[in-house]
Amino acid sequence: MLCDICHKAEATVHYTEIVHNQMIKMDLCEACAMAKGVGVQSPFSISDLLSGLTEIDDNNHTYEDVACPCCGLRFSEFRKSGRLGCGDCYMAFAEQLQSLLKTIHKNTQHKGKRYRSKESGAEESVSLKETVKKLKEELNKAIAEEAYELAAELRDQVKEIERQIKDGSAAS
Amino acid sequence: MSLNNILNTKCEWLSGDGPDCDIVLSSRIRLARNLKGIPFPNAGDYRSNNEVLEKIFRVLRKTSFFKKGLVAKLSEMSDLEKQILLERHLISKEHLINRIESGVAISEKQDLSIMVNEEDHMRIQVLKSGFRLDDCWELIDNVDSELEQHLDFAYSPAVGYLTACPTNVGTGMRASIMLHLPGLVLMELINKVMQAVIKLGMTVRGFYGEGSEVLGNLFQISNQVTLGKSEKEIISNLNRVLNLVVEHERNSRQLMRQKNEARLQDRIGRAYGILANAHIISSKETISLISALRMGMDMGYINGIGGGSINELFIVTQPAHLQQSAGELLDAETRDILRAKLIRERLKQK
Repeated sequence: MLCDICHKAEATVHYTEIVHNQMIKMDLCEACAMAKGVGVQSPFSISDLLSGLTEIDDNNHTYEDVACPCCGLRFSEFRKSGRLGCGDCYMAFAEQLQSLLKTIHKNTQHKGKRYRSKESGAEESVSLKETVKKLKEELNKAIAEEAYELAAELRDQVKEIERQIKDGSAAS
Repeated sequence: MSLNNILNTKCEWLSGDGPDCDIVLSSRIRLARNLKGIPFPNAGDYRSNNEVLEKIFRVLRKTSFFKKGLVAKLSEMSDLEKQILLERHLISKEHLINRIESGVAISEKQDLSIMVNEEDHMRIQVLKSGFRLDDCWELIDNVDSELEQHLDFAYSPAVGYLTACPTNVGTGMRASIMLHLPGLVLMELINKVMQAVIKLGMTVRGFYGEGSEVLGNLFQISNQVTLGKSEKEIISNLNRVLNLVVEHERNSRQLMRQKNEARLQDRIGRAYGILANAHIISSKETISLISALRMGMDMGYINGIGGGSINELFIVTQPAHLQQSAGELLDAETRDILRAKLIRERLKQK
């Protein structure tokens, strides 16, 4: 059996992987297997996919290349690596990440476990209220700029957090 | 407990018991957590990464979860030791190869492990035998709630737990099940079932996670989305879909029994024959033959071997485990001889 890639050497590595939801069987020679990184590293990385997604997004919008005030990462760097630099990046790139999160998760609002919800309910609702205030400012800005799609998402986020505040105060 | 003790102890998730253990090998949940105001591992420098490692280790050493377990830096382990932890699914490939100051905590039963400074500051993982995602969630939720008392996590009420990769943000949770699906593969229904599973928002992977190849008819199915659904919703969704996959696998095994029993028994018998008598065997051949043997056992064609000891064979025949039991580094040929010997002995003991 000859190698599927070079079609010259004898295939000694037999390999099955899942690509685009299909199981693909490959028979490779030692050299091509090494070159392909079989058994050494993942043949496909999430960051490739992510940078692809932000590319698609780029056709419709052009963003300013902002930098995160905490870690200094630029949005253009994130687009290359697919990895954010720190938690604050989510704030710094909020606008740019919105559509990416929507593409990945079909959603932009957290609905799961809440950090330290079991204690300091008061403290948390203060930070929640601050978030609502910030979101409302962004919402007004979005409406003023006639960015209605973004505005609708922000409105949903405000609603969800207000619900959380209400639930929290009802529980305590 | 020392690393040596961990390496010499069996891991609980291979015990081969729990619900649906004829098809479901194990259940796993992991949570990604980061510390507030500190760069993620890949964006940090030596100083910040070391600070994270020390800070988290101090907390982990204080909690009850690792009292009898292990909390250790990866830089203090040999390559072989790290490879063994990888083969046991206690650390990831990414964790093994990255050169950042990093560490791992492992509970005594090896059902709980925490990778420090992998892609995120913490990757908390719970691993159990059989179809038990709900049990996994209960334990990991407890661990997380304990840790958040002592550590400031990067969190926003809008998008949840903040992670280095936006594909994990929100719950930071990936729940997965390791399934043994020889029936669906032999009946050539596997691609159809996988397509359906993917359409329902799940991801399919091989034995060793992301980008790993499919070996021994073992498939890992996990949730894809981490934002916009609660942990319980994600788990019950998975439970529902995976119950269907398990049912399809049972049906295809039944169909094979009805339509082609002789061929099925022949395949199982040959696998058993080779495993019981071979003197040189590669780890790939081993895994595919063990898959057939396990199916034969689950379908009642082969008796007297426990599910746990078969599951264990999947792991103890891997290169690092073999070298550990031999007590020295071995070349591929010697490993193949030793592997064959170990399998012959184990199958004789039954």
